[in-house]
Amino acid sequence: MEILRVEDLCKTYGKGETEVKALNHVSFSVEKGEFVAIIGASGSGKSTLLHILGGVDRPNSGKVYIDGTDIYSLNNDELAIFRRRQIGLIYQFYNLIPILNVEENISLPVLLDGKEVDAGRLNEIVDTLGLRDRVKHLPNQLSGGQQQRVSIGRSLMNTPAIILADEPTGNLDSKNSKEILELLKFSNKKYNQTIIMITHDQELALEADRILTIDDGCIVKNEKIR
Amino acid sequence: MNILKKLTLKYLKQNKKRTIVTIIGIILSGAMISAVATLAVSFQQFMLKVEIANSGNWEAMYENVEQDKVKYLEDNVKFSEVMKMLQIGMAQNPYSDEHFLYIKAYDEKALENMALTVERGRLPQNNKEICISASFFDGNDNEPKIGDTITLSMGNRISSDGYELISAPEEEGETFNVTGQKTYTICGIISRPDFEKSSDPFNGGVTLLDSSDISENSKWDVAVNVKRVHSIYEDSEEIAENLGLYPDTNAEENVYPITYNTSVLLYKGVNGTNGFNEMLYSVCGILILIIMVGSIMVIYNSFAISVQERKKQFGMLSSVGATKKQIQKSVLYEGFVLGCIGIPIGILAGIGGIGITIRIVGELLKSIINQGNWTLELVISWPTIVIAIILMALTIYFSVRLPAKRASKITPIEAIRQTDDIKEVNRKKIQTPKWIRKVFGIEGELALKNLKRSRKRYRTTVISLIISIVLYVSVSGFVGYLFTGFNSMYVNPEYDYIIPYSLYSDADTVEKEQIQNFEQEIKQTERIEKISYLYKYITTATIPKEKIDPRLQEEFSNDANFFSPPKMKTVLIKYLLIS
Repeated sequence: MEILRVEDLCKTYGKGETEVKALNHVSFSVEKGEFVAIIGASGSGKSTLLHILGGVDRPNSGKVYIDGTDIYSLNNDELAIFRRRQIGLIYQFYNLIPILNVEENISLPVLLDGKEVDAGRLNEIVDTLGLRDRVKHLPNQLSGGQQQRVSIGRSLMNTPAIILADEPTGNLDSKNSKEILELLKFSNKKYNQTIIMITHDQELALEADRILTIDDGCIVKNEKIR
Repeated sequence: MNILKKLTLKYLKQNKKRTIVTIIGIILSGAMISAVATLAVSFQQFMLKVEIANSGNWEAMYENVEQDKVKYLEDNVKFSEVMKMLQIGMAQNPYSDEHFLYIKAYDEKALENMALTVERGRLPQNNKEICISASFFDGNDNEPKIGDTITLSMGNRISSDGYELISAPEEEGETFNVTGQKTYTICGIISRPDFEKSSDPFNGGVTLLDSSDISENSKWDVAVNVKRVHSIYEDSEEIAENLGLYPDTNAEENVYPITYNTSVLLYKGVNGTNGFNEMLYSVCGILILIIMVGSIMVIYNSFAISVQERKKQFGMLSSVGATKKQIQKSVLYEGFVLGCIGIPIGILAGIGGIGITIRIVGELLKSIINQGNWTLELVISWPTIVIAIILMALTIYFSVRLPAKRASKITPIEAIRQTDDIKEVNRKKIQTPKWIRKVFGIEGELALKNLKRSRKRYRTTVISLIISIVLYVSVSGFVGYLFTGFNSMYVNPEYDYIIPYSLYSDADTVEKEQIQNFEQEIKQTERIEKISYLYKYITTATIPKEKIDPRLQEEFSNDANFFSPPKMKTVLIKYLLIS
């Protein structure tokens, strides 16, 4: 089942001489349960692509369908709510709220929806991520790896259609990187969770089911690994 | 609790310093607004008190009410207080042919509230004692003194055509029809009571009401205070109609015999206008407006900084799916929480502060205004407090609205890209002239570059500075004018000595010379700082008869003296004001 379809995306920054084509007619699609890595050099347009997929930056033209919904036909508030429910975002710098504890940070998307937190789901995620004895800690009491695990937990909490991870290990040492990647793969298998990971690390990308290579705003390679 | 509210509270607790600074801003603003409003109300109540002392604590008076109708007024639910005055009647003045005595018996409430001012002695304590208007006494040797007993012939003044006269000037051919005798002991001398006008042919006397004086034919004047002062005119007329009080046959139609204490009613805010209330309200309005504008600037800045600090948080929240509305609400909630703490403290502080000020200033004012023994007192009124709360809520709302909108516009991208601040810098924009480094050193250059980089923040700082200077200058100027105006109204102009002298235009030259020498002498006196001259001309003039309004011509036609003034003269009164 197709969960993400990207049609002819274009995005430019600046005007006139300084115009930069960050995305140049990009199209691809992702099946449910796939773990896709997008790799590219600095400035290749991969972050722009991720932002547009995540519904936080609007394209100049083209369409993004997530689970059948054309997300840029939604207005800002609808898009925010859609993002809250259907897209999980994992950032390089974790972006946790420093004054909320682990449990609250993980539950944030549910709390923003004004819903009751499903304690079973929360416990399962906490246990899966190995954060059981840290639930009441604040982010600054955690190591980088632990913080990233919290942000994975947050992205999983609402069982979104897709999880977008932007250099999730970019800020971590090799041991922690490996752990995080294992966790992503584990969630991918366990929950049949679609994950799109952006990285510039070839080795990391090889762990994914499929690698999309982006250069100069175009998809130049689309290779299935397993 | 909603997660965003919880987040806001946590943030406020974490940033205690900034939170306290914002609350202090709100407290100051609330204190100033409530202080101004409370001062105004206190001052108005003070003026009302002075006015009540002058013209009595009553609002409306029904005149010439017949005995069988008094009860209706006494029992009327619309009145909060009823003061009865029985018309005892006219008496011949045993010491002078020129004037009569007109006596009324007041009940105890009337004695207390009708603004009787005892000059000497005391008020009557029974119906055998009487207080007499000071204007009764001419200073002759044969006049009675306090403690003396006087026997009066009571009766009616009857004109030559047989009408009863009361206030009408003495007529030729009028007679006095004696109906009885009354004996009183003089217990006090009072200032002219309000039923005696200076033009009346009688002087007033006041005794205490006793049921033995009441008869079937008694006539009363009944003064009242009403419960609902704002509809006093309509209500009073309705009552008069129900009573069957009829308009004076001489007066125009539909004018009921009701007198209103208009000056007191004006201070109570009923109908009509007097300069004082309007001045007070407009001055307060302007002051409060200035305070509000200033406060909005200060509080706005505080919230703008807060939003700047929480920018990352908002961006992050929005990337997790918080809507614009949720983020706006979160900032508004921050304002709400701070308002809930700051407004009550501010209003209490303002009232407390003005209470202390009034204590100190009240005594000073007492000596300045010279209006009897009345001191300015703190008056706390609920409507004022409610208005202050509303104004403060508006102030905070206007301060928070813009930062809240700005917060909601923060995109997740801005939160993700943490290098945002550096990227925006434009090299040309932050170029600084070379002399800056020479004069101020590298520190100065860095400071200027920083200002140029964040022009917006720099602009708010400059605007805040400008506004606070403008506020200070305008408020102090305003208050200065206010005091000058107030002084010229209630206090004499500034001088230490005044030397008045009159010059007749036809005065001989010798006198003029003398005066000029005198002035010269004063000018040369040491330690005289300033001499001001004030001239006042009083002239009489002859007006040809034809140029006078025909209606007046008739009035004057019998009195030839009006048209032949004494020798025309100009009087020049010259004052030397020496400080």
